Amino acid sequence: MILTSLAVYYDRLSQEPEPAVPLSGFSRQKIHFALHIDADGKLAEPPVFDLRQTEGKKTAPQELVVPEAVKRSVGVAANFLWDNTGYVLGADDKGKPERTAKTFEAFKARCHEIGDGLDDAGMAAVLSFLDAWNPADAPDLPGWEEMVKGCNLVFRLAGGGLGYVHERPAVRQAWLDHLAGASRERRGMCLVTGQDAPIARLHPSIKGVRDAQSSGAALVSYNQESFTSYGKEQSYNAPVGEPAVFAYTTALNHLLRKGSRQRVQIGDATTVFWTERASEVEGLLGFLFDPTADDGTEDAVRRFLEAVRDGKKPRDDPEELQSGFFILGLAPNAARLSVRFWHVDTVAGVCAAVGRHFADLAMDRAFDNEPEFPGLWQLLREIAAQGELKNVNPALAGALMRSILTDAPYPASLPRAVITRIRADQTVNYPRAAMLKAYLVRNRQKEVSVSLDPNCTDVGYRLGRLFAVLEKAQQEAIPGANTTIRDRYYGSASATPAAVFPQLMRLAQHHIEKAEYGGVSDRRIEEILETVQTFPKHLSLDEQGMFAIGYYHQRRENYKKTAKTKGED
Amino acid sequence: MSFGVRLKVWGDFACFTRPEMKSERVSYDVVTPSAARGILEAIYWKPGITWVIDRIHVLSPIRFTAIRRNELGGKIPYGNVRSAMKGGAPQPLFIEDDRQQRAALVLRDVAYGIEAHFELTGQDDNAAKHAEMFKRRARNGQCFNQPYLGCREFPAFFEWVDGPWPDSDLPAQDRDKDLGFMLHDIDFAHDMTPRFFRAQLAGGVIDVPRFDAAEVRT
Repeated sequence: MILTSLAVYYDRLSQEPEPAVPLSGFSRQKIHFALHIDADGKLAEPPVFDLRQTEGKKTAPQELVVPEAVKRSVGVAANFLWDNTGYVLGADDKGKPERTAKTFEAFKARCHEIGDGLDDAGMAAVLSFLDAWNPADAPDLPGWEEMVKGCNLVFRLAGGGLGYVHERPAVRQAWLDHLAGASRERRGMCLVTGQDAPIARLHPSIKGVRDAQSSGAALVSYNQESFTSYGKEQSYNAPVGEPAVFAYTTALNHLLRKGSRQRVQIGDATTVFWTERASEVEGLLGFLFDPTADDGTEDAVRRFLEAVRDGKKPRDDPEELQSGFFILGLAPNAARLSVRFWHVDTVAGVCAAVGRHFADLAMDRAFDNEPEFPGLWQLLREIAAQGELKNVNPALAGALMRSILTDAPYPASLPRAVITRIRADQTVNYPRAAMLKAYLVRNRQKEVSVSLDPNCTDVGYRLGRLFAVLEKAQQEAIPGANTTIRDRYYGSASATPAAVFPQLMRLAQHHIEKAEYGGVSDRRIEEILETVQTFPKHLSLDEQGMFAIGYYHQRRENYKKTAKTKGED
Repeated sequence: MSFGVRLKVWGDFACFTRPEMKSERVSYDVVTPSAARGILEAIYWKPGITWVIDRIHVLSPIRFTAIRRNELGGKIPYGNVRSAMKGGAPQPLFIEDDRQQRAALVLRDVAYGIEAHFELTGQDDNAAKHAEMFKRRARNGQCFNQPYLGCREFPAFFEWVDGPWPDSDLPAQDRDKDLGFMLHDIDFAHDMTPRFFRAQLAGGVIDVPRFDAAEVRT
């Protein structure tokens, strides 16, 4: 189904008015000049069009979609209806007249081979031009000095209306028929399309998967003897027709291209996603994983994410919502690509899953400049050593992505990763508290509020709040202390409360006495301890999560209050 | 008189490898007819019968997981095996010398109901005998070799089903689904050509066409 979905995606892309993907049998090539010929095959006026475009000081050739290039090494092999001057005009600056004569003959022969008997004015004009052309006349062409430096030429028919000769429908069809007939591969049923087609022996390589070979790696390959069965060789082990092979590799390479908004790196898996029908969601999802600072879509993304978080449908088009959404994660393994992740859902399903993720994650932010919808990378950075992306655990990254997209429980290792980081640097910030909350809500079915919940009687939560109040009391008594109780006691207070809280309470009494408004802290401590009978000997991982959330909520509350009183003064 | 069999099979893992993703294995979504045939043959088979899979019930959600394994890269050449059999030296193959790490996307916690019947290959054989033997063996949990779910390393457990099929845990939105072209079986008589059919889940059940049906194609 992976190959089938990719092939279908290719069909969708190739049917767009200006396809971003090359058509089968065609490729994008750098073309510099176009020869202008009339219907009789004579050069028209002007004889040559310069197709190069000037950008600043540089002139760059235009990229045109032309018949696919032949594989050429030292031998002579001509392209169809486009090539360099040596082939098209039989003249170049290489100083090997015999070879140049051969290349011109090859070009002429190839055009005759495909174009003979074709009822098309453009093709006929090219053929009669080639038959009548004398290579010795080439230097008389305008701009020859530049043209001769390995430039590529195409043909354009005077008064033909439709652009270039190779773009004329009849010519295109002749080229495709020629390709199909030229394939010497054996025929059979294609397991992607179900149609009879020549079976591809080798599949083109896929480029753009991180850490794979730069020349590309194969998704379908049989590069070890033990991979083959029933005495079949190479890709005859899996009968995939040539058109399907072209379609799926082109689509995948398109998704993996540089600058693609449909590609994200998650752990060691390069992940691409696409939809069955054109959909805006396709482009927005990349944002979810890796929000970049500014690419002009921020407003659209925000509206989209707000809608899905609140459980609304981001679009009104029911057909679009029900169309398929595909996610494919690829990781390199030797010269091959392995499928790490493959998920099929509807657009609506993915939107709902993403929405639930952000609803579970929702937490009051400490600062307004913190992202309301933190991307996957922003979350992962918070649980990596030194906050560096290279220290992100790839297994956890992949598992977290999977849970977000499939609305499955979060990975069991998530809370430990967060708590380990909190203990390492004694920082409970917004993304960390949000991740702990999301885990407790989704995996443990706990009710955890978005902001401070004074009525929550969870002992971990209460102790977290208490710790924040004690810290505040110390801060008021000894402003600017080098080492606060948080630096010294956060770890043990969250894991083994009974061992440290009695001492902290004694310490707090001194702080309260010393501070100007100590009474406030005293009242708060009383209120928090109302439901706490004893300090537990130790807290479980879930309770430590609640501790961190309680601490975060209470600290935010403390901060808010002081800001207000200052404002009133 | 019909001699249909109804067997529930299940296991922790399964990998019904897609032919196009054979190197870095990716499993089909559900059991293939040839893998189901293999399970039945592991329980009971004689040259006098051929198993024909009629229907496959998908009883548990389709879930994938990724694993990595070290496997062998090469094969022992056929000639070496033959010479070893003729009394030559045994042919060792050391994994340390020819190791290939392969990733696989395999199925987790699968359960299927297999509906099948057998056909006699010879003329004068007693069909009821085979039917009873299969039934007895399946009930007792007997098998010639351990049945497996696509790969030998994923054993299958099985039980004979008398009454209705147990309720399927397959989520409602997955019960009707086009699974694409799926391997039906290999045509061993004609150069071992694979034959494919369009697998459609309808109400959580796949109707498997006969091997020689028009919709099964090479």
